[in-house]
Amino acid sequence: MWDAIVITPFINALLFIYNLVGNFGVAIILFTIVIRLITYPLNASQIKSSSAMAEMQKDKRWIEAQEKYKNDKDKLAQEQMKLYKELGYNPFSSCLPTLIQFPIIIGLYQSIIRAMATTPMDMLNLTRHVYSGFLNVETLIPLNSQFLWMNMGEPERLNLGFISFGIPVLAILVLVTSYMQSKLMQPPASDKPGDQTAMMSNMMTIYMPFLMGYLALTLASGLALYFLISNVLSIVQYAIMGKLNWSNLLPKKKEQDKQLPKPDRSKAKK
Amino acid sequence: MKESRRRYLLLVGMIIIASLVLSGCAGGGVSMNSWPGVSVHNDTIYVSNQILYALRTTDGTLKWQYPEKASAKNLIYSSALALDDQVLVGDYGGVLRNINPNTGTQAWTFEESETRYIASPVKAGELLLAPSTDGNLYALNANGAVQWTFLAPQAIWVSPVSDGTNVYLASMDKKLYAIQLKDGEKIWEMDMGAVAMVAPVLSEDGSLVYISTLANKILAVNTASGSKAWEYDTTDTVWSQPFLYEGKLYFGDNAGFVTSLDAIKGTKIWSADMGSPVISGGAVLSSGLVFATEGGDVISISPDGSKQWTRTVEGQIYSNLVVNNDQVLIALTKGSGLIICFDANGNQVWTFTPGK
Repeated sequence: MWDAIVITPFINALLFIYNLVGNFGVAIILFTIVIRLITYPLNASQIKSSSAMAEMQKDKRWIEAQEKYKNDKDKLAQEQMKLYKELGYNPFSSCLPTLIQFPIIIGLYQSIIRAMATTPMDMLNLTRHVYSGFLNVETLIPLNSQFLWMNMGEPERLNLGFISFGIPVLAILVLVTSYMQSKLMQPPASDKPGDQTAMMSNMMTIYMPFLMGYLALTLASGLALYFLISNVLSIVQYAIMGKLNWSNLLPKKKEQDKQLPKPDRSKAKK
Repeated sequence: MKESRRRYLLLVGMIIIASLVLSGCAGGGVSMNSWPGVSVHNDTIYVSNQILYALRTTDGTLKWQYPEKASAKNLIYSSALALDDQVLVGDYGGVLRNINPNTGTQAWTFEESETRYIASPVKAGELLLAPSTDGNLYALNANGAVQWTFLAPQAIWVSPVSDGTNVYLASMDKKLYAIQLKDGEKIWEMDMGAVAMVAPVLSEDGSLVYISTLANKILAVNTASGSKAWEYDTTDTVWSQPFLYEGKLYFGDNAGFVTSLDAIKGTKIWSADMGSPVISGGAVLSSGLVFATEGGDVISISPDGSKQWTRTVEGQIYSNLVVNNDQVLIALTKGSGLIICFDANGNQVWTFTPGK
């Protein structure tokens, strides 16, 4: 069922693009862009809802309710719902696009893996996924999986003559763009000390890039390329919508620094 | 503070689940799979399924396994080349291993391949030929020293065949090559029009080489010139290794048909519907031919194409059937065991299931 509805159409779309461009790496990039363009409205809706939620959490009444009913979860939930209604915010509006997108993202990911077909079993399954009237197996296979210095079916390493080991360029790029993505999309940190949401967000910013970097290091480079393009496109979409927080990339001054008076350097020089 | 800790644990849990889902979906680690490879020599059966199992032909009990545990980097799926004094098997880490058949210990390794071995090595004359997905056909002597290499433009997924003078090799560049066995020099190349997913087969007199392609064709090629002698259009793609028996070529196809062709003329003699795709190569028993369907039916067919008996096993069958002492060995994928042995009348002799 999942294969028939999601995976097979995705594989055929990916192979159709491959058939046009003749390179699997380029096909992955274009396919990811196409899927991102199709899901752009869903992403946009999610971004707007997240922003609205972040704004609402700054509302005086929200903060007061959190403080007042911190020991009464039911009452707190009631107050939050009341506030949602008053401010015209639908709490499901941010998770619905995510839920709709989830099968698309998984489908995109799985179709790339299956199209790479690195074992006889994978190859047999791939040939069975191809719509025979739409694409021609005999001309498609084998896929040209070479892209720049990478074989899309193998983990990527750039071997330079003067270094004895291969440099995992894609893994580094995935790590960096994942970090940038998390940082740039993070809402401005609240001034409230011990804000758990901010703490969670900070932890995600640290752990997720390393997880993605590790996956890019160990999995086939076709997937690492997909991670990289996805990260870049997410950043671009946030930028188009004017939601990037560039200030998050800059090192923050400590709270104490803000409060302490600056030393008079002119006197010290004397 | 409790709330904070709970959220922290939730976050860590989410990250762990995400990493498992992503790496699981990707087929990384041991989840990468294919179908088992089977070969037999003297009193030992060799089954490659992540690791290499050596079993006794008499009762299917385990003699040894190599290595003790599967390594995600060095999974073994291709059939082993089993000889009197050595067993040669390639892995997905690009390592070709020479294993002592008596003890199951490694004698030497050959690690020049840049990528994995999907096809099995073969012996031709005094040479061991190892086809690699890095595009090289490595010709080694008995000690693992390279004698020559032949580089095809693309990966090699199927084993070559040799008549003792020349080697016939199909590459993923859709070409069939004839190479001199003595030095690896190319004699001719022939455009097959599509890739071949099974090894070529030599005719009994060595004048023709047969090969099936993903263009739904069986080709017969003159070994002397590389010209096409005839071609036959199959019902569907052929993943089943064709074999010769009494002047006829037999193979199964993805549509579920087993076909018999006149090996000289390429004309159809009969075709029989097995009811499910036939991916594995068939074999010959004293009672007749035997084929297996992907769905798990083991079917005996008389040489005229009529069904004799059917046995159903729990699992899928993709691996070529192997015959030893008039018994057929059937390797299972996602089955209740790894390998089942039937006699010529379809009685189960033994089954082997690896220990956990």
